Amino acid sequence: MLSSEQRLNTAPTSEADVAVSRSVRIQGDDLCYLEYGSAGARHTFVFLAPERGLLDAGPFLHALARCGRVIAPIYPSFQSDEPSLLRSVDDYAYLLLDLFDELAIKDAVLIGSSVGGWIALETLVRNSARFAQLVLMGALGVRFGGTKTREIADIFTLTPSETEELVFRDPRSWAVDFSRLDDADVLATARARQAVAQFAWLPYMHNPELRRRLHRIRIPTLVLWGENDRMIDVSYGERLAQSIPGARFQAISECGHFPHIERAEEAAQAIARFAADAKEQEGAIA
Amino acid sequence: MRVFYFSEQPYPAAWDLPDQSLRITLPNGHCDPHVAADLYERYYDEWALADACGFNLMVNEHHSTPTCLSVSANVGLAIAARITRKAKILALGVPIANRPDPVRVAEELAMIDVISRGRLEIGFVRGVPYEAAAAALSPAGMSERFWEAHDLILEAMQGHNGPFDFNGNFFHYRNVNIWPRPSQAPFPPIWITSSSAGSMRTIARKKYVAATFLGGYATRALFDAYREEWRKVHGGEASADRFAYMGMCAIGRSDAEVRRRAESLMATLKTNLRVAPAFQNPPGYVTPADSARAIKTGRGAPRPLATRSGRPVNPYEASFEDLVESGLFFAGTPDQVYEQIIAFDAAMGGMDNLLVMIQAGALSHEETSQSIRLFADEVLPRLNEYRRTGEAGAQLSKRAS
Repeated sequence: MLSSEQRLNTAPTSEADVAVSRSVRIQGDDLCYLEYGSAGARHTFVFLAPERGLLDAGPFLHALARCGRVIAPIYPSFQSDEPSLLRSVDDYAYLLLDLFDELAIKDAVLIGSSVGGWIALETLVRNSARFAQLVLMGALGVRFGGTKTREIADIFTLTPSETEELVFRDPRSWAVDFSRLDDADVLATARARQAVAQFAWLPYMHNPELRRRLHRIRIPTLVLWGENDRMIDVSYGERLAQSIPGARFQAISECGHFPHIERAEEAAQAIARFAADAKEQEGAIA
Repeated sequence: MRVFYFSEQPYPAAWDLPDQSLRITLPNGHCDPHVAADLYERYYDEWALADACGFNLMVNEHHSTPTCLSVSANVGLAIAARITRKAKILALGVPIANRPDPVRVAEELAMIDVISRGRLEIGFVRGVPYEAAAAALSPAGMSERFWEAHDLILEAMQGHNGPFDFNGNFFHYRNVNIWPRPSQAPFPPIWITSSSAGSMRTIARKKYVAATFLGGYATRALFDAYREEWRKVHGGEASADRFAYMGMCAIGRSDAEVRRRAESLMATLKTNLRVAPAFQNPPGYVTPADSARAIKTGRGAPRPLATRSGRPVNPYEASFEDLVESGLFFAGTPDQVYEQIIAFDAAMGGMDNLLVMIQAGALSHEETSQSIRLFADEVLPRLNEYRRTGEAGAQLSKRAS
C-alpha cells in the first residue's frame, strides 16, 4: 500500500524510529499517515509533503522523530490512479483540518515543504487553533511578482528527471535516477504528478487570494530556504517571511529546494530548536 | 467511399532550425508573417481546388508550432464554408477539453454549419499530449471535462426553446441560447478520434463516427472493438460509414514523382519526434501506470505499427516500402493508390471515410495541385464506384478473414 516505504525506511537508527503506517476514516474514505515516535513526546510535528510526496523524506523524518512525535499525512490523491475529488488546494486544506480534528492534534508544529507549504498556509488561514508553530521550507502558493514574472520554475515543462536536476544544489548526490528506481516509487511519482497537475496547473502553484489572507497566521513562523534553490529564488522566501506577521527567515547554505532531503539533519535541528525556543518563550510569558 | 482532403498547413521553413523542439517552445520570431500569409493563401486555394475536384475537406488545429498554421479548426472551417461549394467540411477536430468556453464552440460551429448550408461535420478530439502545455486547462481530469463539454455543446445545439442553465463540474452557464442554431438537425454528424479499444467502445455506444490516424493495419483491432460494442449495445452491425482512417498519400505518374512527394510526407512524420520529452508525457494525459513507464524509460510508449503480415515497423525509421506495406502511406501511381486503398478497406472490414494527407511538409503548390487533380481524375471516380458496392466488398472480406 505504501509505495514509498522502501525509500523511506532506508536508515532507521533504532526500533522506535520505524514508521508506523496508520489510517483514519474521514468522510467515508481512509486517509493514511505515517507516525514516528510516541504520543507522549514533548513536541508533535506534522509534515506536509511536497509534490514528490515522501520520496527520500525518511532521514529527515527520523531525525525529527528524535525530538518528538512525527505525523506525515499521505495525500489520498497521491495514491490514486483516478483524478481524485481533491480538485483544488481548498480540498486539501479541509481534508487536513478534518484529519487534525480526528487525531486531536494539539500545540503541534506544522511543517510544509514546497507544495506542502502552500497546503499548510491554506490550512492555517482557515484555522490555526491546533498549532503552536509553523515551519515553511521552500514553500510556494503566494504570488509576489508582476504578471509576466515566472517566480516558480514550471515543472510541467520539465520531465521528472529534469526536475530532479533543478531542485537540488548537488543533483549528483541527490537526484533520483528514475531508470533505477523501484517500480512502485516511479508509479507513486506519476500519481503525485497527476494529483498536483489537478490543483496547481493554473494558476500555477499559487492561489491569487492567499497573499491577502496571510495576516491570519498568528503563530510563530520560521521560513527555511535553501540558498541555492533554483526552483524558487531565495528572495521569494524572504518576501514570504515578510508577509507573515512576525515570521523569521533562515537561509540554509549549500542547499537547493528541498532542505528536508539535501540538509535533512540540519533542517530537523533548526526545526527542533525553533520548537523548543517557542515553547520556552511561551513558558516565560506564562 | 467518401474521401476527405487534408493538409496540416505547415510552415516548413522553420523546421530546419537545429536542436529545436518543434512544439510549444520554438520562438515565433522565426515566423515571417508575410511567408505565413502566402502559405495560408495557397492552402486555401488548394481547398478550393479540392472542392471543385470532388473531395471533401478535413481541417485540424495545433498550437505553438510551425507544423500546423491552423490554430483553430473553426476559423479554417469558416473560410472553407465560404470558399467551397459542395465539400463536406470536417473539423477533426475541436479539442473541447482544452477549450474554456464550450458554448462559444457551439455557437461558432452552428454559424459554420449555417454558412455552409449544412455541410459541416464535427470531430471532437482530445488533442495530442503536447497540446496540454499550450492549453489553459489541466490535462489531469481532461476526460471527464471532455464529456461534459460534449454534453453542453450538443445541448446548446438542440435546445430551441429559449435560454437554459448549465451547472456541471467544470462549466457553468446561465442563459445558453445560441444564435444561429445549426442547419442540420438535431446537430451535424459527430466524429471522435480514438487510438484505444476502450475509447472505441465509448464512441460505439454513442454511434458516432470513429476516426483513427496513421495506425496502419493495426487499426483493424480498434474497429473490431467498436463493432463488438455496437453489437452488444445496439444489436446488428455497425455500418461502414461509422469508420474513418487517415493515411498519407503520395500520388504521381512516375516512380520518381511519387518518391519525391513521399519525401515530404516522411519529413512530416519525423517532426513528431521533435517534441521536448516533458510535453510528450503531461501529467494526467495517460494513466499513472503508462506515465510511470515513460518516466522510467525517459520516452513515451512507441505507437504500435505493423505491416499487413504483422512485422513491427517504427514509423520514424521505416523505409518508403514499409510505410506503404503498413498502410500508413498510400503511395504510387493512381492504379497502385486505388489498389492499396481498397485492400486496406477490405482488411479493415469496410470503412467508408478515407482521410488523405496529400500536402505535407514542403510539397509545393504546383505539386500539391497536380496530386489533387490526379487523385480526383483517376482514383476518386473508382472509389465512388467502389463505395456503391462497398457493403458487398466488406461482407466478402469478412468471410475471407
